[in-house]
Amino acid sequence: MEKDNIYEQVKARLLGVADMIYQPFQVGPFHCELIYIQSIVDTPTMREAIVKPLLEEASRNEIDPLFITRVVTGSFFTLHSHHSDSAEAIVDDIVSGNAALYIEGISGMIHFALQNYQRRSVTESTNEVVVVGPQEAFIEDIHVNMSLLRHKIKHPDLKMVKFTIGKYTKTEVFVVYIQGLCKPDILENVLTSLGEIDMDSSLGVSYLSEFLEDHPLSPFPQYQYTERPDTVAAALLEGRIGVMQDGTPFSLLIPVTFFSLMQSSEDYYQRFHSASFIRIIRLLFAFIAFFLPSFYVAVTTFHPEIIPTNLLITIASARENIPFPALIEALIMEVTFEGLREAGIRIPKPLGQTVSIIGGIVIGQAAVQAGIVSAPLVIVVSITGIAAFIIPHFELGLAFRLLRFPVLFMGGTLGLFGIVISIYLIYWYMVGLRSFGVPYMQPFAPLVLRDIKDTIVRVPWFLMKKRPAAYVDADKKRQKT
Amino acid sequence: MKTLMNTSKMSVVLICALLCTGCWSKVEINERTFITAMYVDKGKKPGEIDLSLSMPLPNRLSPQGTGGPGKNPYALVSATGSTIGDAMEKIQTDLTRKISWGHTRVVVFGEAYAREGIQDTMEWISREPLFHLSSYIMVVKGRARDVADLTPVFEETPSDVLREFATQENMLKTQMVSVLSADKMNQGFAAPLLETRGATMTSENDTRKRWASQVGGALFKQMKMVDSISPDETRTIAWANRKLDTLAVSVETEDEKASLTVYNTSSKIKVRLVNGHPFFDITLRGQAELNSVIPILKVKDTVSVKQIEQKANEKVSASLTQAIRAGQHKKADILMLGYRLEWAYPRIWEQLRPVWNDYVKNELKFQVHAHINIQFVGSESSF
Repeated sequence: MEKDNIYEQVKARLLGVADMIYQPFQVGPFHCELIYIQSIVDTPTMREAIVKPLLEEASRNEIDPLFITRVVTGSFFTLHSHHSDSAEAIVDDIVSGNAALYIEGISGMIHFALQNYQRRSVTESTNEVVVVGPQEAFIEDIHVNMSLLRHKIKHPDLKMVKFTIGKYTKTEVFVVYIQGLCKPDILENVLTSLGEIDMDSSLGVSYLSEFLEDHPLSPFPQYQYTERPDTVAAALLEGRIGVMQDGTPFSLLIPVTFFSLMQSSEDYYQRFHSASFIRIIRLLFAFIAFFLPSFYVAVTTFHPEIIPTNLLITIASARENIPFPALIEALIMEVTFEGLREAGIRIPKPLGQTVSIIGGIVIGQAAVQAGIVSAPLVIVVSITGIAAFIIPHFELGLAFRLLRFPVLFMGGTLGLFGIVISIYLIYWYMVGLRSFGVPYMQPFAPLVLRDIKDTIVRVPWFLMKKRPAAYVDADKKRQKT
Repeated sequence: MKTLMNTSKMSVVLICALLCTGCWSKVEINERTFITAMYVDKGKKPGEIDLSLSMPLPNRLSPQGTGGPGKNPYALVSATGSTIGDAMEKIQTDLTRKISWGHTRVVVFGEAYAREGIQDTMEWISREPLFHLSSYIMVVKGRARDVADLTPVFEETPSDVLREFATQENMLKTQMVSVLSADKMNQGFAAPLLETRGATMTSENDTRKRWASQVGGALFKQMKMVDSISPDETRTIAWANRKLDTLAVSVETEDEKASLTVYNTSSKIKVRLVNGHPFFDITLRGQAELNSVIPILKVKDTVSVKQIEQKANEKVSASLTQAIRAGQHKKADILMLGYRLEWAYPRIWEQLRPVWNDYVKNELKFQVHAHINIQFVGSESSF
């Protein structure tokens, strides 16, 4: 049967797929078959919009002579449908949640987009919590995420470019941007890079980020993850570009600068005094996360004369019976802390309490009482541990936590001199780093005076009349009032 | 390729820089001992120095420390040598920890040693890079070592007591830096003078222990102690140096007996030329509160308040004048007036500099003005 060639091909391709449903029925003289996977197809809609009209047609005395034509052109069903001749395309559509209708006498099949994947409902953001401000967060379903984003920006200039990435996963990836705000060369760059990606799968948007970065070996992230639609919207309005992927509740924002990674969306919802204060605290703690352990080690082993006498005697008396050099002591504690932190994340939830109790007692008490580590160092390590989590973007916090170890070695072997060298090297590197062509330390290096208003402090909204120069192309003006 | 070259060049430079540092001198904090005070005395044999160092013992201070109660949390080690360096080496040889000078806050000289000259010690100190220039200098009547035995009632160690003597600004405080600069400028300075005595102390279960008190000032000229002055004079010197916190003054006018506390002390030393000769105006300013008046004074009685102020002014000026005269008598310019002169009239200073000591003794002219302003008369009953 020549007509059934495509039908046979489709069946052959789908051989061995046990959850396939082939639903045959008869409409007048036409033998029909509906092919779909029940778990991913919206069955009530299918019944209502496909099966019901067909059966109604079948129950008539006389079949409409134009029946076939109407089906093929898509005017028979109230649902969006299209006709396809290619067996490959049909199979791909079926496994991605379409229902395919085969009617004897028509070459190819009619598809209905009826995807109904299991998804959770939109919940509150858990990783980027804000006190004041929108609470909703992205979920795994890209269409829900789109709806959340479109809810924020209602403008035809909000553009989306779709990619399908992954030979097996066929993951939908959208590049979203606002035409006229984002820099075309960055956009071009991103689109080209995404077009060139040829992977088996892309299960998280992080798979893509490493392909997009200019400096993939750098410890500093050159992109930003967010699970908040408002953050994406704000970034797009600054002229940045978002990459959203189906199946992941995070979207990627590019380009970034160091200071954009030090900002939280909370900053814009709170009063500018408190937001500015918090930002300064954050910078301070970022610095602490970098340098406190190494500073402690350097000062106690090389330069005890700069510690006030009373404090020095306190430290000395706490360190009196410690068998290890300060550097080793600090390393033990830092590594233990990192281990505990990781264990705290990976541990099954019911056991979480156990780990934190054991960890707290082991680190905080037993180690000090046993005389293995000194109490001041425990304080130093705990403050450092907390400090790294104050950085609003997890990836940047990771970079800080990693770089702490080389700095610790430098401080422990060369004293403050080593720390100064480390600061110099890190700063040197950061100044040279670029995220998609945007200097990482902008607006400080290069200096853009008018953009400093939104870095260390946040000025009130009525003073932020222009978009940051780092990202924006043409329309620099943000607001009139 | 170019960046690779740059990076490798940069790393070579960096490695060289790293190797050039002297920072391999890592010493753990529990391998050091921190000298908190240094006591220098004349040795028994002529030309010998008796050096004592006091240091805290952190192991006895620690909450889980092995030292039981009753043991002192500080140690005192002494040695004799012909120079500070010799004595130091003897001490270091017997110590299990490395001596660190970074926390020496007090240097105490015995009177006998001070009268012979503290030049050697100061020279050694100024060459020790870790020694803080802000350390305090003191002189003890008798032996300096005796002060190290004082009983620290409020503080942990005797050296804390000495340090607090200076930082509280109750009497005089003299820092290393002013001593060194006075020496370089061929001028004098005053240092606090201490005395130790035995006292029965309630806090020590009524046992007889050693107690130290500040009993005045020691005047120095060219690193030699030349004279001593009374506590009142010492306080006014501190006031003129702007290093006095408060000062209690008791005066008797015709009608009343009053005592007042001066606070917010400040001073100004100005030099002007009178007939081509420098003339120094030393102004002491301060606000005061009235502590007691007998008979009871009414606030309205401004005349009496003025009288009390005037009496206090006179008393303070007299003390300072006397202190400066005492220095003058020994050719010591204890307020470093020459420094002011250099600042204002460098040419005249150049002429006077070689003969400054004699000039101070014979020709120095100055006037002390005191302006004490009573701000609070205190509360008083209305009947």
